[in-house]
Amino acid sequence: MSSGYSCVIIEDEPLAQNVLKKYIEDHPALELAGIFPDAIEAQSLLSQKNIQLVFLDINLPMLSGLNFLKTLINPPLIIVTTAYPEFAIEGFELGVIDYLLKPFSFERFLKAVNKASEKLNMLRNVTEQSSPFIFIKADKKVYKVDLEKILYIEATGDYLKIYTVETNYLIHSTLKNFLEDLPSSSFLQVHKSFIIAKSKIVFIEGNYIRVADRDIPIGASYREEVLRKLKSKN
Amino acid sequence: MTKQFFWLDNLWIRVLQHLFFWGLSFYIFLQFFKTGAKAERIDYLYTALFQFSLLPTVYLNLKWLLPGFANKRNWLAYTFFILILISLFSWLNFQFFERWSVKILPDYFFISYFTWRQVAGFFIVYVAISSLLKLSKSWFRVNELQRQLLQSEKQKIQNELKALKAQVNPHFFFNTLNSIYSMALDKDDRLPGTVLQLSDLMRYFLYESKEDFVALDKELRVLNDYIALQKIRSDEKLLMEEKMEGEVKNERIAPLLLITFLENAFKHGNRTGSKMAFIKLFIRVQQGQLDFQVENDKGIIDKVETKENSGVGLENVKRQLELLYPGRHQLIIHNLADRFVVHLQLKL
Repeated sequence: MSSGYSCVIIEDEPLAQNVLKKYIEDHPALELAGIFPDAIEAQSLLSQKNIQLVFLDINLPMLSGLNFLKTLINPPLIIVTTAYPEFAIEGFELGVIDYLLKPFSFERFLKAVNKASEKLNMLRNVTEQSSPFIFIKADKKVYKVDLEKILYIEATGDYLKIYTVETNYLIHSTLKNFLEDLPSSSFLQVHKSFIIAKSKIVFIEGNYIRVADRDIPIGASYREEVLRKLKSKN
Repeated sequence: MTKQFFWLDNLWIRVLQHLFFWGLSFYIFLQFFKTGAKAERIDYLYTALFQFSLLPTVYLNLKWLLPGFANKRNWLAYTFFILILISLFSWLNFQFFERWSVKILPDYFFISYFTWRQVAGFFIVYVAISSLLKLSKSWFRVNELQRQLLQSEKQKIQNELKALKAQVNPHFFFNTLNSIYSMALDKDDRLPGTVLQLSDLMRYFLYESKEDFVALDKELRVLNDYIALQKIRSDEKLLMEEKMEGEVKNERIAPLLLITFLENAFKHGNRTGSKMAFIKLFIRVQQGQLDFQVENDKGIIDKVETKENSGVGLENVKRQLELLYPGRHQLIIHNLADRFVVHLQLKL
């Protein structure tokens, strides 16, 4: 089984299709299986092929995106793309993975796809053991990063530096944002500027945690929480 | 009402009014009653006593009979009671000066100048004058009230119009921005022009639509910008037919009226999936009259509706027309099986 996800776009405006098409082309793990101007036309493909991810507009001709979603018996993962913020709650009630408000950036798109891949990984892990990973955008490329290779993450201004066993990545994001993409069982924020991988801790001494060859400070307001979480794991 | 809505109702001003009335009345009586060239002490006393005897009748009439019966159009009861009042107190007045004054005030000698009927005549005059004064005051009050009511009514209509106007669909802007974003990714040549059209449109919506009336040619220009942006969004899947007759001079029109119909046409017409959609627009300006017709085919549409666009658009325009062009507009909407036609005639 390939690690790529087969996806489709359901969107009636050509220019909006174009944005999604470009984003999908830039993402190494996404394979575009089709673009449809309305939901009815997409239906047959969805039933024939194994589609894992759908980018779905809400305001569609003939059948609205949300109503289309209600008709699906075994729906693939859905990422809604729309200019209508008022349907977000209904969307999430219908189990959509993420809700993108047009126009949206590639970074926001990536975050949505990461959420989807996390979910798909979980589904896959039931049958086969593959190491979980996320996608990040650094210097105009999208990298696949295995979660188990991440050592720690440091925030500097508007950027995050992700230290892995092999290399470092500089990405445009915030710690709070990035933490949401990581499984909370393996990662821990220990300082307002640091997230560490629990499995990579060498030792803890006073107010420092040694990860790889770096002493990472424990923030005063994080200390209690960090110690509690580390203890409960053991 | 907590606020003093009428200045004549202020307590001190009311007291002053009454003092002034009785003061004036006292002076006139005195001139009338005095025996010599100069008013004597006895004249003052007589005038005061005479005037005092008028008070119960006048105030009972003002405070009790007028509000109690006359205001409720109960004329029979009013006439009955006012006759009793006048008879009773004029009789008391008459008796007082005729008989009792000698016993109560033995030092003075009053001659009763008047017969009972004449005294009653005085009473009638006073009741009439004080009633008329009261009436004229209420007339002022009613006038003032009416003025305030009219003003608040006008304010209400103004507010309603304001609320009705700001109804342009925000999704249109975000969808257009998304198109612009797509062009920017592609470095599309249409991008600069599209940004200008959008900013023209936004300027119109944000600033100029706050005016009550705008130049007609401006509204028509904005219609064209709007059409251009919608065309870009739908690419080549839209058949748009525009026809314009007549000449726009310096007619003025309420802003955003026409665009609402056009918006409606795009919302419903431009939704036939992969098939072509058509929208026909016809505008004629002639001798101060505007003919506006927009026609769209009906696609199968699954309603994506929110509070702000669920048919409220057309209802709003109807109400706006009633308020802004009473008796000067005609709106005909044909909801046919395959088409939707709106025809608006407006006397500008």
